Parts: sequence; C-alpha cells; structure tokens
Amino acid sequence: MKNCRHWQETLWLEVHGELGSEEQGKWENHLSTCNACLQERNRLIHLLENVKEAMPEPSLSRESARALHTAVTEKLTEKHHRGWWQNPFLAGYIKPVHVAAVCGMLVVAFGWIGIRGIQQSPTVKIASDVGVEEKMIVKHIDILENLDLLEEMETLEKLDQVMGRKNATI
Amino acid sequence: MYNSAGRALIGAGRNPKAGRDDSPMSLEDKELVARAQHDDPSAFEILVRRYQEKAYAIAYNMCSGDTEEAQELTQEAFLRAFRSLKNFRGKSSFYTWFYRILVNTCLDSRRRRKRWERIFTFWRRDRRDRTDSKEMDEDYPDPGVNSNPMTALNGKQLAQEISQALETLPEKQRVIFQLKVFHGMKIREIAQIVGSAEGTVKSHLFRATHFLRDALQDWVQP
Repeated sequence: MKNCRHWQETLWLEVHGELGSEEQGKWENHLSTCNACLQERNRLIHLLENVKEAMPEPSLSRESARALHTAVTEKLTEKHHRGWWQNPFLAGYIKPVHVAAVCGMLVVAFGWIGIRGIQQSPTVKIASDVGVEEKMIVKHIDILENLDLLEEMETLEKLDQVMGRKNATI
Repeated sequence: MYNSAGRALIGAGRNPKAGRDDSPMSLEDKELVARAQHDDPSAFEILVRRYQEKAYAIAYNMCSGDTEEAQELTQEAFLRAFRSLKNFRGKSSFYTWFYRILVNTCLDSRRRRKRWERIFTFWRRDRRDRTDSKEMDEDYPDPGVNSNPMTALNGKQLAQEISQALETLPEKQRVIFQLKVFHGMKIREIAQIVGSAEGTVKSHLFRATHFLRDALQDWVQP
C-alpha cells in the first residue's frame, strides 16, 4: 500500500461505493496483483460494516410518527390562522424573550445614564463664559507661570517695609 | 481473489431515496411542493409522512442519540422548510434542500447546547457523569437484539467507541461521514446538503474514514 499512493483515492471511493465503472476494471486488475491494497480494502470494508451494524438506523415508533406529523401540521395551520400581531418577529428568529431582554438592557442603560446626568454638578457654564476665561488665561500666562516668584517678591517687599520702619524708629 | 459482496453492501445505503441517480427532483415531490407552495395542507401532510422517518434518523445521529431532541429538531426542520418553501426554486431535489435545512437545524442546536454547556461547566460535568453510560448503552438502539449476548456486548462497546471517536472529529467531517455511512447518501447529494464542492466532501470523508480506521484499530481486522 505504501507504494500505491496513487491508488488510495480509488480505494476510498470503492469502499464507500462511489467508484465509477470505468475505474472499477483497472482497480480490480490492480487488486489482483497487489496484496497490500487488497488487505487494506478488506480491512476498511470490514470496519465500515461493523460501524453500520453497531449503529443501526433508529426508527420512529408509530405513535411518535403520528405525534410528529400532527404537531407539524397543527403548527402550520395555526400559522395560517394567526393574525399579523401574533406572528413571531422575523419568522421566529426573534422571540418575545429576546425583545424583553433587549428592552431590559435599554432600561438599565438609559437609567444609568440618567442617574449619571443627575449626579453631575448643577453649575452650568455658558459657552461664551468658557471662551472669556480661556482668553484671560492665554493673556496672562506669563504672570500665571511666574506666580510663585511674584509671591516671593511681594513677601520681600513687605519685609523691606517692616525693616525700614524699624530702622526709622531706632 | 477478493470479496465483491462488501462493495455492494457499503454502496447500497439504507435509504431508498438517498443515492438514486434519477432526475434532480422526482415528479411526485415536484407536484407536492408546487401544491404546498399554494398552501395545500394535504401536500404538507404527504411530504411530512414521506420524509419524517429519514429526517428523524439523521437528527438522531446528529444529536448523539437523544430521542426527544431528535423529534424536536425534526419538527423544527419541517416547520422551517415549510415556512421558506416559497423560496424553493427547484434547482435541487426537495429532499436534499430539506435535509440541508435539517442538518443546519441540528448543527445550530448542537452549537447552542455546547455554548450553554461551556457556560455551565458544573452542570455539564454532572450531566456527563450521569449520562455517559446511560446515553451510550440505553439511548442507542440495540445493535443486535436477535444475536447472542457476546455479539450484543461487542456491538454496544463498538457503538460507544464509534460515538466517542465521532465526537472528536471536526464538525464537517463528522456530518459528512454520518450522511455517507449511516444514511447511504451519494457524495453529490452530500455536497448539496452541506454546501461544499464534491472534492471537499471526498476529502472530508476520506479523512474521517482514515481517523476512524486508526481510532478503531481493534475492530478493523476481518
């Protein structure tokens, strides 16, 4: 079989009963000369026979068959007599439970957003106010950056004034 | 030199409809489908009666031998098929079209079940413990009711090993193998049912056979 790789597909097709009549003759000629292929073929046929025997096709009991048949026909006739409002969404793919779940999620989501909205600070800024504030910051950015230095200078000036007064009294 | 009887047995299949070489759609089915498309309830009835047995067998194999689930899936597949019957153009035979719906219904259910089982791991473990022996031994039909006890025991053991081996196969390989070996369908029909090219179906079938041959070594020797 190792030397017969090109016969492998023919072998599979034959054991599955799919080999054409033209190839059948060639394959039979090959089998008459190749013992390995013959053995492999017999093994596979034996395996598939065993598989089929071990897993027999189940059959519906008469009652089950009748019940199945009745259920299908009843549901079909029920569908024909239904009003449009009774029909399931999208041919049954979306069921009421799905709709309820989506509604629930929407309620939760909007509720959360609503609560977040209430919790926010009540001060409302007007766009124009924000613009003025920003403009002032840009204008006095030098002062803001050197605020510490200015504070220190102010302290020194006060100290100088105090010291000046002391000297004058002395 | 070699036994040609096996070939006939393997190729024959179990279904009188599956594997036939006549026109893509038999006249009776054509008429019934045309009538059913005009909401004729008797046509629905005949189609259900005609295909319910085979459909049930396919569903049964695909849902690992659960009789109730197989019946539910068969019913669901019929309803889905009849609801979309107006879209059926008759390019393929009615039964391959219907079996395609059935196979998809079974695969959907199987995936859904697997998803839930993955979520409820504990439940799955518990259920597996309880059903592993029961499912294999009781749910599958007895392979040899009239044979001797030793043969029956071997048959049950083999059935269990086959089921386990099939479970480990990829979805497509498993479905194709089942349709071919258990239901005797032609590769051409399977290709239509699973929506793949015939070459792809052959490749999947050969891989599955090869895998089972290795997995069931003890049962291979004639």
